[in-house]
Amino acid sequence: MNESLLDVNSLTVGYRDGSRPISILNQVTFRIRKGETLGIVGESGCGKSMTSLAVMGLLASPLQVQEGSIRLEETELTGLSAKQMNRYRGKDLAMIFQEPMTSLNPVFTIGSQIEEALAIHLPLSRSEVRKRAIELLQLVGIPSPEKRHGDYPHQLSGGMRQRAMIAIALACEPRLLILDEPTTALDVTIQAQILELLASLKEKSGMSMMFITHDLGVMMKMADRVIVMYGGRIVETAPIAKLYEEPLHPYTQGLWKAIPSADTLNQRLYSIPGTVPDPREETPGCRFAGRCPHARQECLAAVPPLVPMDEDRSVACILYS
Amino acid sequence: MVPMIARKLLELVLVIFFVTLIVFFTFRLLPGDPALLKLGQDPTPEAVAAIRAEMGLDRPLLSQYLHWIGDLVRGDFGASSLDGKPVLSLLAEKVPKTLELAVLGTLLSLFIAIPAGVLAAVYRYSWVDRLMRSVSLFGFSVPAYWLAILLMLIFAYKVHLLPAGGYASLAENPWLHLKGLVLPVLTVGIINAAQVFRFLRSGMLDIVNQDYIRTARAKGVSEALVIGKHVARNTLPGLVTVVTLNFSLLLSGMVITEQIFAWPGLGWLMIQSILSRDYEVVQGAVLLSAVFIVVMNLVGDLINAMLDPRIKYN
Ligand SMILES: Nc1ncnc2c1ncn2[C@@H]1O[C@H](COP(=O)(O)OP(=O)(O)O)[C@@H](O)[C@H]1O
Ligand code: SF4
Ligand SMILES: [Mg+2]
Repeated sequence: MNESLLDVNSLTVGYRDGSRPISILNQVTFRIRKGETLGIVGESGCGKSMTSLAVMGLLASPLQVQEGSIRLEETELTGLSAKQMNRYRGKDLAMIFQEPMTSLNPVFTIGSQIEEALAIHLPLSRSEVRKRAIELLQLVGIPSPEKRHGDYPHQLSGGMRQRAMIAIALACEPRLLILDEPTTALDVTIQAQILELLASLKEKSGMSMMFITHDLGVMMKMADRVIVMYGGRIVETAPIAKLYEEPLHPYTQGLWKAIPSADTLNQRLYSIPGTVPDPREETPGCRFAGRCPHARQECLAAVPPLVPMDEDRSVACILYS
Repeated sequence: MVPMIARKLLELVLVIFFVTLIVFFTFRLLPGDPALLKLGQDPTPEAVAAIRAEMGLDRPLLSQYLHWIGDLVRGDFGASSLDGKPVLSLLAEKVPKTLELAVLGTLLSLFIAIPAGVLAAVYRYSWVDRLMRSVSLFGFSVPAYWLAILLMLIFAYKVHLLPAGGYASLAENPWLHLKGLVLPVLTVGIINAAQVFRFLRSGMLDIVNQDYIRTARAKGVSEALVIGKHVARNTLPGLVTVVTLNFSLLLSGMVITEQIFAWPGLGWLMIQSILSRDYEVVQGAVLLSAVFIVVMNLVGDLINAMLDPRIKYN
């Protein structure tokens, strides 16, 4: 449980705007242990998807890794060619996206889309591939899998499509499954079913997960450890229980206040005032200063570094240094 | 599938019905009396009345129309007022010539546009893409007559390689027939290639950015298969629509190209009969063109119903 599967170090991702380099992710450092679920939380636009796409090697030009390293056990992934990266994508690394309605290819059957992943990476015969695809459909809880195998995406509901996406991702039993807001586009009851399915699949397989959501409530159900991102940086990292009991960073505190609970149900929901900064606009010091209730002059002097508080928790805020 | 075909066939009949209305009444409203045209200079009023009665022009319009439709249904498209030849046999003689140009022109356009479009989409925003876009802009913006004359100047007058125009029968003089084909096919092919290229490039670029393409990449699908399978397969229905539409427009109206190269096809016939006010022939030709367009549209829809699983179910 203590061995690292993924080590991300000082990852900086961005693009060039003329001669000016723009960084969307800044010095992002974290690791995911074997069998662990790491949650990434933060408001929309904080760089969660960018982090996952960088790990998958799916950054679309002009975006690129400007600095840092991404290691999958012994293999350095940054700098691999697309061809080399394809050996890992779909095999060791798999990803499920937010939009089940648009993430499946409309002109191919569900079955063939699962089989494609199998056929690329595993030395199986055609009949074995088909058999395994049907098993996968069964595994993700799609009823009458033999029949659904021949269905096209538009014949399935959103929840069923997301199950099909999960089947594709799990086809080659990945070591790391990345989920980018996998239930955000689904309604609440379906969301609960999918989360339950994911938790049980995780239990069975022992794979690691990177689970991205902007919803701390969902995070409570899924994650072992959480990193909180703000403005392309990690501002706090801690086990989910600690983060719940005692959020340290003012941004994390704000996120907790913003989730609906029984006693806030009838009131107007709290939200952190202000908006996430645009990567193109430069601000001095702490990225959160403009929205932080504790902000003071020193906060503008320099970006507060991520400082370890105890053996498994770090925070980037001058209140704690 | 079957209800769709039935619905489309019904649409086809309706559209053709409307076309007959438009064709018929447009020609009746045009100035100029075909009876006078037939008789030449200074006819006697009696002769005019006689020929009008013979042509049915003295009856009410509605009765003329119904009569015409009745004849059409029986396969009687009337006769040319110039030489009395049946319109149907005139059309039957011209259509294969137009078909030959349209088929070869379309094939040539695909032969140019598909590799170019794929290259431009794969190497998007690179110099390859920019070069192909500039070239296509040329093909897209020059008028057909300009290109036709340019080709003619180069290949017929500068280097005396090809005939400037004219049609030789394939059976009697195959070599001359082929030589005569080159310039009109080039004209049609180049202009259509530009259109198909522009569709392909923008269509593929749109699809490359779809979420399901990212899913394919996340599975480890190679770039060649991402483009050659996932992108291509989703671009195909749009391509079929563009190609069938272009093809039907070629069938029904290569007026300029056929005129310039003296290629006696349907477009050429249309111009000749308009100039000589040969009503029956023009009507027949316009009607046939409309049928081509509607039928090709149906063919495109049917092909797409097979290519895109979403179509059958809505
Ligand atoms: N292709 C792109 N080019 C430039 N900026 C981008 C691009 N995609 C996302 N961004 C910017 O990067 C930031 C982080 O985006 P993202 O990782 O999608 O956020 P999240 O997933 O946390 O909502 C946002 O400010 C967004 O505007
Ligand atoms: S460093 Fe200052 S502005 Fe930033 S979170 Fe801490 S207190 Fe707020
Ligand atoms: Mg996102």
